[in-house]
Amino acid sequence: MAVLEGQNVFLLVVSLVMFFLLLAANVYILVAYQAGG
Amino acid sequence: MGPSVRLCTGAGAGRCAAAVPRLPPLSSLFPPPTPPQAPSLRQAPDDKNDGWATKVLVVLSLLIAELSVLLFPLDVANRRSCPVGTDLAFCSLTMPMRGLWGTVWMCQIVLAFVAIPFALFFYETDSGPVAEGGRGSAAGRLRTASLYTLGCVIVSLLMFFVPYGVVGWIDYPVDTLVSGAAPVSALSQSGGGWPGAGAGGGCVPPGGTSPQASAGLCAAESVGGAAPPTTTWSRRAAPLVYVVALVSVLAGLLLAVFSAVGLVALPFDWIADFINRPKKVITRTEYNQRARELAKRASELKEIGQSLRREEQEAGGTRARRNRKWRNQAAELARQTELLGADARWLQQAFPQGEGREAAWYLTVLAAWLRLVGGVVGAIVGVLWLIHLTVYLFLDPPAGPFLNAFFDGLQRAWGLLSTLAFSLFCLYFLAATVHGLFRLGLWVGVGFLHPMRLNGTYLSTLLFNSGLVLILSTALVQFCAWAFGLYAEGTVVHAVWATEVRRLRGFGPLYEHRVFQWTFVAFLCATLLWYAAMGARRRRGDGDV
Repeated sequence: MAVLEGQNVFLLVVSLVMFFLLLAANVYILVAYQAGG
Repeated sequence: MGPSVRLCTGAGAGRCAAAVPRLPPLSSLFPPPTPPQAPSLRQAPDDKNDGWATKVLVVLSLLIAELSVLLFPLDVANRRSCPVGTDLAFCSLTMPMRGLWGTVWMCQIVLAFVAIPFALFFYETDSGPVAEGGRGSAAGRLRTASLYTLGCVIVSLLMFFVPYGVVGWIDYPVDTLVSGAAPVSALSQSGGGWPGAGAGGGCVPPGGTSPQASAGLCAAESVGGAAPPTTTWSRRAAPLVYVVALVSVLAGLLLAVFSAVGLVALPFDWIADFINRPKKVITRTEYNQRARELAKRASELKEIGQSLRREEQEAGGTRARRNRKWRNQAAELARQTELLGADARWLQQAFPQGEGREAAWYLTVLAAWLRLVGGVVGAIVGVLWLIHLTVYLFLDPPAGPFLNAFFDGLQRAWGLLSTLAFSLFCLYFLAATVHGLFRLGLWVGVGFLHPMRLNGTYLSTLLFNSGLVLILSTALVQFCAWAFGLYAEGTVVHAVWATEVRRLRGFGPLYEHRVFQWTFVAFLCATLLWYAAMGARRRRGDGDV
């Protein structure tokens, strides 16, 4: 895990945050548009 | 002809006719009367607590579409981590991008042409005649859906692989250079150059009596001042690349339409949503009054809808739909229905009810401000996109690299910032395209196929549109690779889309005549005009059915 330092950790965090933001946006689209939602 | 009724419109629901004495529940307004010109597939009554596998498929499809777009910045970052001119294979800690792209393309194709059709067929056999006929059990539905999906897959395979067998070649224009042969020992004997190559070294002149020998084609730069002759070198395209290229070219026209509409509509709609937001919680008395007004409008629309339907049945369905006045009235009814739904949502937000009404109100306020921020940022990014497309793509020759230079500058300052900014630009284009798709819907000649409606969309419609987003994302990546050709030079995706796909046999005229570009420009202008017209109409505050 020595390589996971500095910028790599930041990159990992940014990637994870973006992934979960996109996931949340997709779930929001589903909930906002579906009938009876 | 249907009755002609003047109706109130506009967000806020505050400019309607006088109150009617009885107060129907607000829930009676949902779903709004279905406009007769908007046919769609048979749908289940309520999907809120059902169809979890389908919901997962919808979210997964959208996620794969977004990840496929984000793979492009990753490809650029991967390429930039290796010195210019060095093959990725010689750099340590680089990713196998061709393999990653292949995996994502495979996922997109399987989802769009196998999983989503299967889920659609499975979902559509949920109720109705098929179920009533005794084949509505899970096993029966599974069998029916599998058979239909198999049919779809076979048709798709034929559509892809028949052209592949016939014209699945990439034609590269190449300069013709011919060299002769000489033993290696000749090199040492002639003091560093090939015998007969002249003072500048170069290649071995072709010997014998071949036409190339007499033309002196060994010279790389020119032959007697003229450019070397060109010829076409052809090679088979990779099957997966050909399939994705075919899908993306077919989706290219849709992308041009939806992205043009979305780039204009997204900031407009979000800022308009903020302007029309409920600014404070209304009183119960006001809520009741507005609810009555909405109910009156809903019953008027229902009557008009029934009248149009009767008229359609009396005249015979097809003949009625050919009648221009009937079509105009039906279109206006659809518009009024949309406005009614928007007003009903506004009322629900302005008077939150239940245990968590305070939290609901705060969420409404937060969402409105987020829309404002998103709308302003979207307008800026959209304008930058349009300037970039004009400066770098649409002008021939390009006036400048514009955003290519901007991202290059960011790359030199901090590579990660460049990758992030580029990701956001590409993602915004996808968001605008999805907004355009949801706003416009897919027109199929007789009506819109699976139109999206807030709080009124069934899972089959969501599935269909998420499949469309998947297909559109392949064209979008191609478009981005084209738009950021300088910044993305040397990447796998640039090599595939900008080099291989553009030279696929039969695809050339589409790019030479700039079909996608002019479609984009036409729809961009049309959308701007439409918004200007709608803005003027909304300021007048009325509409006729």
